[in-house]
Amino acid sequence: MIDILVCDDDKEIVDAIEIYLSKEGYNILKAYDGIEAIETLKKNPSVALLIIDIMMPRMDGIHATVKIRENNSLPIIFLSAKSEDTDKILGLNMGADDYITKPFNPLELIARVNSAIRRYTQLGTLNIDNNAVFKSGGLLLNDDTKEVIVDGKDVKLTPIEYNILMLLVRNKGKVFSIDQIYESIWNEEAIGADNTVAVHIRHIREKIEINPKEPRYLKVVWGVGYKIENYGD
Amino acid sequence: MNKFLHFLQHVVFICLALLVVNLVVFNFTPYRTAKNDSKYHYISQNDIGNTFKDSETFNKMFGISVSDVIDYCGVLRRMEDAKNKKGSQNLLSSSSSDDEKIANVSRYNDLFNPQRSNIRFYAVEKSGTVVYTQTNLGSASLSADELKKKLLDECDRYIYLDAAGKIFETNTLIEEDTVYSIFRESPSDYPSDTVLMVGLKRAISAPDEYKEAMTAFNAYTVGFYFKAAGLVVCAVIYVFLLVVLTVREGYIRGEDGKRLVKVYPTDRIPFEIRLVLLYPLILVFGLFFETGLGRRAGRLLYGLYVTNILYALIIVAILALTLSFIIAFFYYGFVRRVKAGIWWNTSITCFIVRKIAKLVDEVRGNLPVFIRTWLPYAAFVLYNVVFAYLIYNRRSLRYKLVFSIPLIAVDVIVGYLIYRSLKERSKITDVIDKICEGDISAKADEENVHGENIGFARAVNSIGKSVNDAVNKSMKDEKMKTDLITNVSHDLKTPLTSIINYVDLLKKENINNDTAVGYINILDEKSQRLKQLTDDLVEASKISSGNIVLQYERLNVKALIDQMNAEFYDKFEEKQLSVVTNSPEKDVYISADSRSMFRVLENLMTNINKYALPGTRVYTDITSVNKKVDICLKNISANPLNISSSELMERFVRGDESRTTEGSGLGLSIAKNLTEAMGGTFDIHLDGDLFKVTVSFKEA
Repeated sequence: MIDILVCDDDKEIVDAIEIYLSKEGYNILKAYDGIEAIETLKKNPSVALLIIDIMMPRMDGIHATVKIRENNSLPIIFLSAKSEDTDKILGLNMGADDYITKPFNPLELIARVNSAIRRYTQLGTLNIDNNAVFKSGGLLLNDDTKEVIVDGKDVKLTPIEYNILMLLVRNKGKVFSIDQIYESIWNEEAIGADNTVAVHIRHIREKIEINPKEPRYLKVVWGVGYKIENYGD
Repeated sequence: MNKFLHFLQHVVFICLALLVVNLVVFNFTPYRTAKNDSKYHYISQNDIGNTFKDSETFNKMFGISVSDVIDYCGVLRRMEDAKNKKGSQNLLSSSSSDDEKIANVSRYNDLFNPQRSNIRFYAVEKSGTVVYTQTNLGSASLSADELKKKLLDECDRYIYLDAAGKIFETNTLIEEDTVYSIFRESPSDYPSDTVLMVGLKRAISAPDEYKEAMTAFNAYTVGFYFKAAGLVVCAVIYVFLLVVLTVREGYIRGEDGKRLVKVYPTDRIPFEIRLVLLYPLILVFGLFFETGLGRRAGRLLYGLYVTNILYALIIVAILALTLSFIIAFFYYGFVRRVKAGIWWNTSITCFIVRKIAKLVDEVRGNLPVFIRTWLPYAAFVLYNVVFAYLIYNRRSLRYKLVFSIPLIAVDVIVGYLIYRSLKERSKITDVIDKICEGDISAKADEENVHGENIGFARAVNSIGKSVNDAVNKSMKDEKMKTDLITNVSHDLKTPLTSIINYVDLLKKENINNDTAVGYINILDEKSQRLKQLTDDLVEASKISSGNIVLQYERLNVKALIDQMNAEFYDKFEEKQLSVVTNSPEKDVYISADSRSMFRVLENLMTNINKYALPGTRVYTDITSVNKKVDICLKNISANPLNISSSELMERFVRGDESRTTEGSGLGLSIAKNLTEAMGGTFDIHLDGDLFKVTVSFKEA
């Protein structure tokens, strides 16, 4: 059983999360403010993931995270009603691994929790000493086996989708225009308005992203093109 | 009605003029004498009712004629005398007055020419043995008795004088003494047995002064009281019309039946100009009477009256009508202006008075400025003039130079001070311009300025500070408002999270009650909508308060539309909406924030997905004309659009209130505000069921 600590000053939310995550086979520990969360973590070093609210009495989530990060590298997911970009950036910079806004979709929460746990428990063990392996953060492509692994989970892509993703991952961080992608993959000149590429990319996004509307890896630069976010090797 | 009254007034004026002319101009008669060709005298009031031949006028004229005849006969006799004597005596005895008489003889001949005169006379004088007989009765050879008989035959008024027999007969008012005194005073030494007879023809037919006088006399006296009464009546009518028209003039009925004052364009002419116009008229009238032109004109008219009465009347009528028009123009114009209350406003005097008042006001209001500017300037000019005079006045070059130094020095100093003041002021003006352009942190230099400019600089800085404070305050207020909305939405989201989650959990319970499941579905739907609403609310408030950070990039519109279409490909396919994209051959670029642009188009596409009639086509057109890029989305609405496009863009308004579809009603408002925040224009056009949105940007 993997232990997950859920910390929110709203008891009902904690209970609801417990119901969802228990069904997934996790063991849930509960805390209702930052201080309680820190204490619970001290008592239970086995906790593999912390889901923490930001706005809480006594000590808020940001401060708690900073404190925890002093001696603990477990994945932390912020769960907050604050949905501003600045809030998200602040949270992630303070040491959080993910950020989920309230009200959340339970399925998305579960997916993100799973992905975070996988990254934490499995990624370190994967063999990446291979020239044919390209990765960015939790996204990994093995060009020998044509495998695509996202946060430790296999993803099935069509050959064209794979080729497009490969092009982007090889050049992670660089923005490709639709025409560039088309010309590289189909080896012919792009003529006229055609949303073939755009549709393919959307399909890839639906497959590799937990929330395709807020992609972590395959980002859309509207009016310009697409890129794979560079999270490093 | 007024027009008729005006017409009537003109007619009455003409009548008045005719009567006045008749009664004033024609109440004198001309008479001629040999000494002075023509004279006039007034027809006496006593003559009214008399016939011409019984009138005083006639008697006066006849008296003069008798006197003329006596003169004439004397001259004729002396001329005969002179002829008979033919010697030096003639020269001796002839006096200067005799010469004059002799010179006048041709005039007398003319005056008593029987063809042109109505006077008949004869004179028989016996001087010793010589008998002189003078007559214009045709034959001088007749005897005295025969002549008398002939004269009585032709004339009905006469005088007969037999000096020897002391006989005097007449049927005129001329007295015997008068005739004798003429004899006595005559320089022609009439013999004591002279017989003289003068008569006026029975029918006054020859065109002489008697004929003229009779015509004038009749014109004047015949129906005199009738005409006088007519004059009075006309005058009364004229005055009455004047009063009536003065009261009525200018008023007209407006469209709403109200009484208005009608003002003609000519009424706008200032009354001074009217007076100036009137002046030459008065001048002409004055000259007319002053120079004797009037008398001459009167005589001309009189002559015309005597010869052709109709022409004379027509001329008088035309003159009268002209005068009447002039009077009406000036008088009623004045009346209208008084009624309209513009007689003063339109006057030049008023204009000048107002200008002066304004000037006085200005001087009084700006007295300190007046003193500050004009006094130093006057002093400066005076200084220059004084020194220029001193320099000019000195003969010696040395003194000229000595006086030049202070003059030039002061001029240079003053010039420099003006330059410095203007330079400093222009710096302050630059700061004002900066503040105007929005750089509210701009500050003017208060240290290195002089005189008035210190005050200016301080004032500008204080204005800048106030503006800065106001802007900061309003930004703070706006931020607080957004923060408030954000915080409220956070507070809403926490309970909402529980609602959504527990509804979701409820859905997963095995509930066998269909009604309960239905209720749960409603809860689910509504809680999702609440979620959307809180998100949109925050976003809308942020955009409308300008609390968003935009990062401008060069965006490929074709790529953007392709990406959008790909995003909505599946959803549109579900609703059987097919997208038709028309775009130009080459790529078109705009400068906009990538994510905001996505948000705008996403909102529009979501809208189309929600409201488009399934099975129809959706058009996404890109056009680039004149450096302007239009993105135009068109679809056919499933439901009739009974709402205006501007209302649609309002917050919380949706196409059809009765629809219970998801959505906050903020989508179009957000799209519009975002587009405008990025410097584009957002336009919705509704045409029947056609829903058309055009987003336009400048091409980059």
